[in-house]
Amino acid sequence: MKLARDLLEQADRLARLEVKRPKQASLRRSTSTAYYALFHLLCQDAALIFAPNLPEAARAQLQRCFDHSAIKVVCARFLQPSLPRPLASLVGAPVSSSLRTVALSFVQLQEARHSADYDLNSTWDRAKAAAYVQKSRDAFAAWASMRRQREANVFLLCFLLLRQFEAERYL
Amino acid sequence: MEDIKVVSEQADKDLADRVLSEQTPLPPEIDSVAMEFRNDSSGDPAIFLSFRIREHSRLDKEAIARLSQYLTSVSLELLQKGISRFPYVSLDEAA
Repeated sequence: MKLARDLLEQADRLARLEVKRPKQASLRRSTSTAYYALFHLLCQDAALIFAPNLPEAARAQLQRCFDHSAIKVVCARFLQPSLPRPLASLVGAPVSSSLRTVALSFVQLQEARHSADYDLNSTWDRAKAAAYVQKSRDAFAAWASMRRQREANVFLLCFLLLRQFEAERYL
Repeated sequence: MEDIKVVSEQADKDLADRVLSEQTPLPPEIDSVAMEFRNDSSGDPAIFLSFRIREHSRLDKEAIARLSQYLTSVSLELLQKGISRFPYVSLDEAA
């Protein structure tokens, strides 16, 4: 969890650098880092759930298996007005607003990261960067409130089993 | 996200306008909202909403936190109401 929290702090620092004339590089790196903070937060918890008995170094290796685009698809599915029936029965209750906040933040931050890193025609300003850091911070808080709940387990399980769940029409 | 049936841009624009009007008043720092329809970085149809900040607004940490919550609530409402394109929102300073 430390890496994720450190990344979030770093994103915040980068968004506040150069008080009078913030550099594009600082603001763009801030947004990119805010996304990676959330990505690592979720992947660390996923690895912990899948392999609680592995030593930390092996779990870190496992984390490399998680795919950004697959997680985006999972998040989008959890944001639909209702879940497909098999998945809904696994989750056991309507998706909470906390999990919806996490899923939404992940998708929106991933797109913002892409723009920050690759779209050189866009202009980054301090308010935009600060809002993305806050979005990541809000997602951290929402995740902390429900990370041990049943819906969180199923959500993380989907990271690895997306294709199997789709084949079985769970998703 | 490819299995969501995408409706016309006008239908999604109407839905976004409706959700925004239901969430009135806009936060005092927001001057206007610009909408753009294009694909996101994955190639999926998306709607981008840019919330333009009024000039000389005082944006301290509390204001950013409040505005961030507002943007999240608009996004979740759009999804709950069944918008067919994924909504991306940003806070943008006046040009």
